[in-house]
Amino acid sequence: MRAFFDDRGVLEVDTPVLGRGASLEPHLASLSLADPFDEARYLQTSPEAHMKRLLAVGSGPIFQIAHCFRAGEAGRLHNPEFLLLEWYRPGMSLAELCNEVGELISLLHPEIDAATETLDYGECFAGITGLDPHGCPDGALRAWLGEQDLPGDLPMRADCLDLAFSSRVVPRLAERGGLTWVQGFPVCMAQLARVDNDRAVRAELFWNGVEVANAYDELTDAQELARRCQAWAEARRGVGLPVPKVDAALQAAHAHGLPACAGVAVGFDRLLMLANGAPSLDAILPFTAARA
Amino acid sequence: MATFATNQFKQGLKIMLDGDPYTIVENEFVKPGKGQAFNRVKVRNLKTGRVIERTFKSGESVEGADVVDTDMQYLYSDGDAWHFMNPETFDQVQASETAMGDAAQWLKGEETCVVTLYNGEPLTVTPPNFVELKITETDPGVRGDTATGGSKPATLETGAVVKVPLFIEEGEVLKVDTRTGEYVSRVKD
Repeated sequence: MRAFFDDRGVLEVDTPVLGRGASLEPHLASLSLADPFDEARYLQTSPEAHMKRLLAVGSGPIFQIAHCFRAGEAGRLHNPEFLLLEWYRPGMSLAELCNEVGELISLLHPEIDAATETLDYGECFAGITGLDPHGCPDGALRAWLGEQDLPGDLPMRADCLDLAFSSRVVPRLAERGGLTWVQGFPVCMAQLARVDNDRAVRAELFWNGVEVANAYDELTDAQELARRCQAWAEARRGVGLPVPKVDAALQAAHAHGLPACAGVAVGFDRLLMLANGAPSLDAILPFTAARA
Repeated sequence: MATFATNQFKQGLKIMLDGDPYTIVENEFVKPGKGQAFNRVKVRNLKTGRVIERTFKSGESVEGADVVDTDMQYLYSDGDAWHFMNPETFDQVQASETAMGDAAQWLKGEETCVVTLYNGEPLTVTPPNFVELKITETDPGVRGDTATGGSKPATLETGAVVKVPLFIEEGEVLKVDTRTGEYVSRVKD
């Protein structure tokens, strides 16, 4: 795998798992560490912040296999500590990066059918629910969830979309099997991706219905970053979640100038799980959190 | 009764849903990478036996159900109710015909059964996996007919009827699997 990146001129980096910054995204819960000699720090939920700071000072293409930590995530496909294979390609389009992800997977699992399907989020969603995820009113989404006997009283539109998508669309992807990219996400689900033409320039890769990669045409605009962080802070406040301070260093990196780039985070444990035909992370991790 | 949050969900946990006691059969943690977490559970209604699927927001709480499985000794039946005693506390309970279900036909007295108590009252009764009962009535087998593999009905001392091989005679004691209602073997003294 290292040869794969070396051949392509992508530099391996190793950045700190501990940092002063924490993500403000509403559904990421960062673990914090008290330090008897210094201010409290956070364990990273992804290496994004440090890697973008490197990109801003001219690192060029970089990759990392990072230990990441997300509180409260444990299950067949989740462990609070997990590995992300994350890399950034300045100057590449999202589509080009998605191809590269496909090439890497073929390398790691030659038996996989390289023919990857690409589906449009809006079409999949509408096909199953009859609703347009981009334009339908929030009320229509909640009503549909209620009819399906799914909880509709969720604070954000993105939550409703996620619930509908994971409950009804993802099982179809699992049935079809193989690799499927879903792209053309609604704007409210842009996270740190650029928005273009009323769509988030974001794509997710599913393998046998399991989410294994999340790719963006990365947001580079500092003001837009600040605006989104503010909105997330308010959303967190609204539901009583802790609100970490804005990551000033990441903000500064954007202000300094992040090159246009596509980036991807691949769930490395899941990739190995699926490549080995294992039923759960527990089957391939030497110690899950329950036994660590 | 205690409440349970979704992060405490696991197989076998007894919870109240829509006023009925349920047990969790399957619990799946579902979370898109950047999205809201959910618990998708399959639950079995302990009154009706029906299995349904439910999705909970992560962090939601549900009320626990006061459902306890207790080993109890079967004492006797007076026609309306079946009486059981907890051998440690000497408490007695009465199980209705509904709670007994199929169990009654396997019991003659003193068997240890698992009585599922809901709010202290018997909800279901599970007999031991195997019981040994004497045949009170069956047609005589044809002598030497051990190879045909045919079967005939036999009535047991409790009134239960099971299929037995043709060579089995009245008065013999059989071991029966209560889960399937099938003859397992003869019991030799």
